Amino acid sequence: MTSIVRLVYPWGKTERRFASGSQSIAWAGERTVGYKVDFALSEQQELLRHSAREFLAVECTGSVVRQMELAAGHSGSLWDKLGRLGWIGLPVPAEHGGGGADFLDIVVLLEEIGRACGPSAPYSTMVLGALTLVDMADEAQKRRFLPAIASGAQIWTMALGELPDGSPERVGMAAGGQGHSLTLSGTKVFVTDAHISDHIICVARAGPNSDLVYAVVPGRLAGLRVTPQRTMAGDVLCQVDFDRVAVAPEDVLSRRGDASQLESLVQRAGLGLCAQIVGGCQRALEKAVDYARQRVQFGRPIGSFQAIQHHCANALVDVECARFLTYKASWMVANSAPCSKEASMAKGWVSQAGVRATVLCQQVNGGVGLTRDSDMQLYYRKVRAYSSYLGTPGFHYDIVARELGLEGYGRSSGPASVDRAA
Amino acid sequence: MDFALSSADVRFRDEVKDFLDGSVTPEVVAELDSEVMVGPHTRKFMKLLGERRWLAPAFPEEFGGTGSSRVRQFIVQDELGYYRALPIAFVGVGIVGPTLLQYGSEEQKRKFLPAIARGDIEFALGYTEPEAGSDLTNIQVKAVREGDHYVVNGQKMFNTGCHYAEYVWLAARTSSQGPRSRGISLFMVDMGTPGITVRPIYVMDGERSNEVFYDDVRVPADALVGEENSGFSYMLTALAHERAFPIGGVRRTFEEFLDLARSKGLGTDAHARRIIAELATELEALGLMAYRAAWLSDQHRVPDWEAPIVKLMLTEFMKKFSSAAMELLGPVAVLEGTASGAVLGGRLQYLYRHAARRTISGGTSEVMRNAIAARGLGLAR
Repeated sequence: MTSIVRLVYPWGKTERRFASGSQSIAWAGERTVGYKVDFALSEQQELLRHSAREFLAVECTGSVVRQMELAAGHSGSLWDKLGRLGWIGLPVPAEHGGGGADFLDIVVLLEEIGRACGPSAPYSTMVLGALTLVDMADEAQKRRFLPAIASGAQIWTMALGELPDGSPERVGMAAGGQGHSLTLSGTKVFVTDAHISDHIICVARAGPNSDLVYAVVPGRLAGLRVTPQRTMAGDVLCQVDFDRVAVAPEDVLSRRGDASQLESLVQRAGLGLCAQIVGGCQRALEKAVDYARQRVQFGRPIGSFQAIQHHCANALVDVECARFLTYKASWMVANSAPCSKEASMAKGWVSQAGVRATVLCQQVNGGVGLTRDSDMQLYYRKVRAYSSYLGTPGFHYDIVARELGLEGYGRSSGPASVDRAA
Repeated sequence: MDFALSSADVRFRDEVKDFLDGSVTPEVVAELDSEVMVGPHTRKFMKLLGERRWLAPAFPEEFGGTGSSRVRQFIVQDELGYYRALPIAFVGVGIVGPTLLQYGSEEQKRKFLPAIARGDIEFALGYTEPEAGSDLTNIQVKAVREGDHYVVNGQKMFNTGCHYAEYVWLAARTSSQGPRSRGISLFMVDMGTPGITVRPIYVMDGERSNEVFYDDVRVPADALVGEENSGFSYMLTALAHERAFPIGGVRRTFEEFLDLARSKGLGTDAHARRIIAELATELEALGLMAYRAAWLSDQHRVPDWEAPIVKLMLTEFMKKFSSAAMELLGPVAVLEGTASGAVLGGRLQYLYRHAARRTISGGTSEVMRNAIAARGLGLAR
């Protein structure tokens, strides 16, 4: 179902856009009087934020994060608790046992997970798994797959990037097979949480038009080789080799996609990373400021020196901008508005701002911030790593340039189009 | 969370745009761009805005506004900036008005607010002195009480607007006892009062500022705003609101640059593409920060660190953008507007020259960072 969304931004021209209706909100016509610019989260979102923050402050401490770094980036018990709280099921529609939350709600939760330097499995499952199913699966598939996610019983992820550089738009893996069955052969790289996933959604090309297909593959299967690779952030990315993996027709998500749909999916997933980066930077800044207030040198707290103050101020500017770029794009996603420009602006900017901010915060934290006992270095490493996933700033700024109408370029790795498939 | 304007605000904005399309004539723009700044054409234009109650929409109705939100006032100022007509009324609407509403006497409100809202009078800021730039507590112009007058003596520096404004919003020292910040008072001084001498200072962007000399200037006691010696705290509150700068002007120049970049095929160069996309993103982030500050004012929260973020980002962006754009366009961008072959009417080189001033006046970038650190993060001196 399509509905016309008349989205009006505080500046620039009013624009009419077509939006495909999502399961959560259907728009028709103009927003009514009474809505107005509002930079606050809803009461429900504030409640979610508050509960998540309190929970994670106890259950995902620095020492838990360090333990996870030694345990391939995962904590079974933390996962179980998150599942029991119903939070993993937030993006799943209510009729399938989930919380029926919208994308902005999920972003609020992910921000708190990022604040706690938490594991990536919730993000992989909610954003890469559940939201893809909601978009691309038919009712029967949703009934089969979503309840287990909603209950926190399963971890899901998506295998997208390929060699040489894992760039998210270049899907070359060609699925073979007869009729509606598929056979997958090839290699996917930089897959988050594949080593612990119950299911992996593999993105490949199939059919005469090389459509993009989304094939659900069990995480532990003959023919599937998952090689975990430790990252600088203590999480794990995986290389996943597919050796003639057979996929039954009912496990191929019924909706096939094109390049622009994949781009939207990547951008939305990118916003999920942005949320975690924002949360992490916010916490890093709080820690830097706390340290600056306490650490005394030259007879006064170092936070009274201008150089330190300016580092912190610059970091705050970056965090605030990163936050609202993320919120605005996520709000547009939640309202089913096309937001290619805003989503890529967010991922591009937040990646860089996050790195800038954590670099400054790490610097403010001086020598003691470098030790393994320091929490600061957890954020320094995590934010740097997440900035590289699902499209580097270069990738995203190219999309922004395209959206700004700076056409006529012939870069070797342009945003995906069907005729550039191979 | 909501990033869309209400239909009412959208209609309002479209109305404002339509009106400005017709009424911001080349004569008005030329006047504002020249050392005259606010001259007869601009005055006429201001009065047209005033008739519609668009100069100060956030003033209460009884005082010439429409009692509307700061967001709505922001919309007007943003569009004025977009049409390059912003300098008008900024001090009166943004600083004098809110301060009088909060601290002024009833008589002062009645005398000044409607006149500001109608566009009948302009105010100039009278803060800066040779020895009081970033350190505004170091104000030394004296105002000594003598009967029912104050006698003002001293020198002000970089008081922009004093050559055209009817009134100056003067900060003067009324006490040398105690902490320096506690001895400052605010006065509304008629620029026609005998003893005031205005001398031009020409700034590198082609605009004019002023040295202003006060020689035994007799100011009526009822020109005092609020309480004697409380002026500095009023100034701080006003500055907090003032710094939520609208971004329309730089947004307009960026859009024009973008059009030019498209037509010149700059998109074929990966480096150029990247730079332009990043600038566009920073502008988007800046816009969000600006709206957020205006929204906070409507929530009755003084944006005491959020507004400095806007001022800091906007002015640094002016430098970054104009410089990067000039680099991408090559030597043609250094030509002044009147030179044949100039691009964008010389707007980029003007902005680069103007930007040097904007990161200083209204609070330097360094002072902004101090304020952000102190008020946003609790990092005290």
